[in-house]
Amino acid sequence: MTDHLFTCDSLTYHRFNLNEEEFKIITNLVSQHLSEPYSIYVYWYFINTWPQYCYTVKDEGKIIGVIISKINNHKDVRIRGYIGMLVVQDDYRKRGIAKKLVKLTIENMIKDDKVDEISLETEVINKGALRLYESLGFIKTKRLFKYYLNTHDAFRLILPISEKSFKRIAFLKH
Amino acid sequence: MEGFIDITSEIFDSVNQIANNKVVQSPLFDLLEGARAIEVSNKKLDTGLIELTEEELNFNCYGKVNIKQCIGILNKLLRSLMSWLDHSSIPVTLLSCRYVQEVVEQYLKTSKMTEFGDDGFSRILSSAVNGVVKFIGIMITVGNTVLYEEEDITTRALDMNFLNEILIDEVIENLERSIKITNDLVSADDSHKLILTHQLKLILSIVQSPILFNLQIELFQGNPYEFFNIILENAIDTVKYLNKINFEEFEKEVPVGCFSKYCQKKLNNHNIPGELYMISQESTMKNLEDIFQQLKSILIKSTSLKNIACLENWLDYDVQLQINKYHVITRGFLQLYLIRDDQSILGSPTFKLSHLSLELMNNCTLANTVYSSRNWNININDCKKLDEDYNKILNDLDIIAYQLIIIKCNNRCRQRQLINKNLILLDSLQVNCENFEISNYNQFKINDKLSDTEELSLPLTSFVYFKKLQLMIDFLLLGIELELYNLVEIYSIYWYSNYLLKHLLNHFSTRIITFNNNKLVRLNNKRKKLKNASQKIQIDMKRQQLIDVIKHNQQQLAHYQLLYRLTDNVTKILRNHHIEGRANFSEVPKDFLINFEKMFRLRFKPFESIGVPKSLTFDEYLISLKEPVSLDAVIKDLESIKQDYKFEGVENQNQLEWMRSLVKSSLMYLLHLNSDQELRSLTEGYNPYFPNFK
Ligand SMILES: CC(C)(COP(=O)(O)OP(=O)(O)OC[C@H]1O[C@@H](n2cnc3c(N)ncnc32)[C@H](O)[C@@H]1OP(=O)(O)O)[C@@H](O)C(=O)NCCC(=O)NCCS
Repeated sequence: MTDHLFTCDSLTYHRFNLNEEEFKIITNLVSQHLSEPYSIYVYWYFINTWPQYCYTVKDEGKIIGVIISKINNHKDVRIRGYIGMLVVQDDYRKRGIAKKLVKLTIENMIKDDKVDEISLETEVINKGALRLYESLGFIKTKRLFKYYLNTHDAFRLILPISEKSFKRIAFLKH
Repeated sequence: MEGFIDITSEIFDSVNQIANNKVVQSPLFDLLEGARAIEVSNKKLDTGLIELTEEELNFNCYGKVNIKQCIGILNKLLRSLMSWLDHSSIPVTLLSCRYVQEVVEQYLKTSKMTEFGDDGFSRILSSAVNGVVKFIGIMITVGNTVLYEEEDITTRALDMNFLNEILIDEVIENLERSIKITNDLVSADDSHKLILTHQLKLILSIVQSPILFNLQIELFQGNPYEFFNIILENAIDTVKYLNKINFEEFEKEVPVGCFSKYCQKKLNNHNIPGELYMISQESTMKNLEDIFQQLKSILIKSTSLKNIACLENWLDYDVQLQINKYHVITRGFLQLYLIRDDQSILGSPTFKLSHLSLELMNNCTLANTVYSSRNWNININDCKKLDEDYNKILNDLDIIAYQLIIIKCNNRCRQRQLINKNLILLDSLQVNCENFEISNYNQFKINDKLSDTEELSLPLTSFVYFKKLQLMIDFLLLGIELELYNLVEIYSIYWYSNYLLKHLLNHFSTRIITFNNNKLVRLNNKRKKLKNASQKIQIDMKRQQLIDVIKHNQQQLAHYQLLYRLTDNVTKILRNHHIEGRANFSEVPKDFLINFEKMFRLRFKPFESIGVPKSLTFDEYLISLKEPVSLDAVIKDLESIKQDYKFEGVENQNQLEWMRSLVKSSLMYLLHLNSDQELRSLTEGYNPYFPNFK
């Protein structure tokens, strides 16, 4: 298959290929772990616009993990990669799969889109996700008050990549 | 599904023909909207598929209700109101009540309030529902004006108008009439009448609560606004009474179909289906009581402020530090109360934003200077130009004063973001002030001497610099409260804070206090030479002002000294952990994709452009980690903190508690020094800026 990227611990890593069946599986996997179902639209939008940044992990052909991201032009001064969703199926957790998916995304974003920084948001109580991102050097730059409806505050995390990410926006605009 | 044809596979087939696996999007077509269209017929996402029962579909708002039903409906309405403001939205709370929906829908057609019938209970119910709807409208406006949507409040008003153009007096009159009708009812059980009256009174108090931000307070005059205080006290008593009632039996009587997902399906709804949300009776009553207690405390404290120093302390310790304890209603009202559309402060006819900003400066450096008197003593043309330039600077200072107030009224997370934004503003204003003051000296010798030396006092610059340092320190320490820092960063945060505090203390002692003391000495000398009694009185007033300012300076100084000593000791304790291998503050963990320097630079990016004090570099950071630590000295200093701070003269209770929590933190760190375990995490301590180390 053309979308196969590499194999690790007998799991295969793929670039997502738009087809109905995989789409449904991913939708299911993602929606089980979303705090607000509305966001599903957002992820569809991500997959449609940036299919190159949607990766899946399969065990014997069955999808057990997915990461969905996008690229945007942050305030017209920085290219920002944004990790929208990351899910690993329960029984495959704590084996470093998520970490591989995040690294894969970051590497490609740097290579293909020359991103200046990577950002994402996660709820304050999502200790697993926070541990994962912080262990990679993501920095919590903001706490967002009651960011998700009815639930908890969230953190904005940033991983700086280029020199631009160390300059304030006001001083990048000219 | 009848009448629908599933074309999902056709769509995917055609998608396969698209080159590069990419959707080609017409600029006229919003992909997000498109994605939503695809979701028609998904139960989780399509409000058209909401199933309603016969009772829900056919619910009639104009049917007769009895007193128990009335009580039940009003109770659920109050619960819905508090549920909405408990991080929910209107469609799944208040608009789920068919009476509410009927009122807003009718209002769009008739621009009038709705009556559900002309018998007693229908009129009572109408006045109560209209009252609640009016309050929703007010709260939406408050939200739009001073709160952040989807952060502090979530509206989703489904294009309805919540009686915005109806005068509040009309709503109040109706409610008062209903209370009377209830009292006069002959047919009803007395205990039920009592409950219903209290419910109506509560709704009346809720509708009246926005009076707060229409009060016109004469600052520092001690007018207590007794009538509003009485409204609030009565409201508290009413809530306490209702809190004792068991409403279950009444809620059982609520007509079937009265609360449902009807509005989600029938009104112009862009949201996905949501379950109805209803907080408990207990939480409802607790929230209501909290709100009225908080409003009362705001009223009492703000009307009994004696001077600008009390105002500053109130803003710092009762507003800024406590803000997350306030209910969102209180928070919204507070900001509108503090500063009004016409820029008046607390609605005062005489005290506007420009007065506030002048008073804040007077209370720091500006009192009794040539800049406060504007007595330039230069020729008329130069004077005109100077006045113009000064007014420009004052305008900028007004903007800063405004921002400083707004920061304090926002939730703690926002506070930090707003501080960050304003640092740039303050930094450039500091430069402008300095240029202005120096050029005035060079051109016209306009200056007050700082002390006996020839040094310039630069009171404007000095004020701005002080505010900037304050915000920089707040910015760093607030990050600790918000749990933003990784354990490996924590040393750098205290180390940097300590550096800023050193500059602030230095500025305080060599500039602000020195200058104010010097002004006082000069006034004393002047007074001695005076014979005229009225001139003496004038001087005495100025002296008193300076004495108050210096007292305020001293209190602030004590606070910052305490922060300085704590950050200094914590820095040393953490450095000692690093030196002894129980923590590592110079190397990042193995999986990090960035090095320590990058983490450091991103963290302190907000200070990167600040000119004074100069930003600390990563090299300086590394060097600091090598400085030897004397734990004996740390212990000695921590032990002496308790003796050194007695807080005499501190009148504000929250200020006192804050200071005491800092002192307690010093004792906590003393205990921590007994442990020689690896540093693993930060846990809650006595003060949010000083967590315990585990
Ligand atoms: C968060 C999630 C993706 C992690 O997946 P995973 O494959 O288990 O993560 P990894 O095995 O790559 O873990 C990476 C690191 O994080 C740590 N970690 C992951 N989950 C953790 C947890 N629940 N508790 C503590 N640590 C955790 C691991 O110890 C590992 O650290 P190490 O390299 O030092 O051993 C997974 O738990 C998940 O799908 N959660 C639900 C969806 C979600 O919350 N997504 C994130 C929202 S953006």
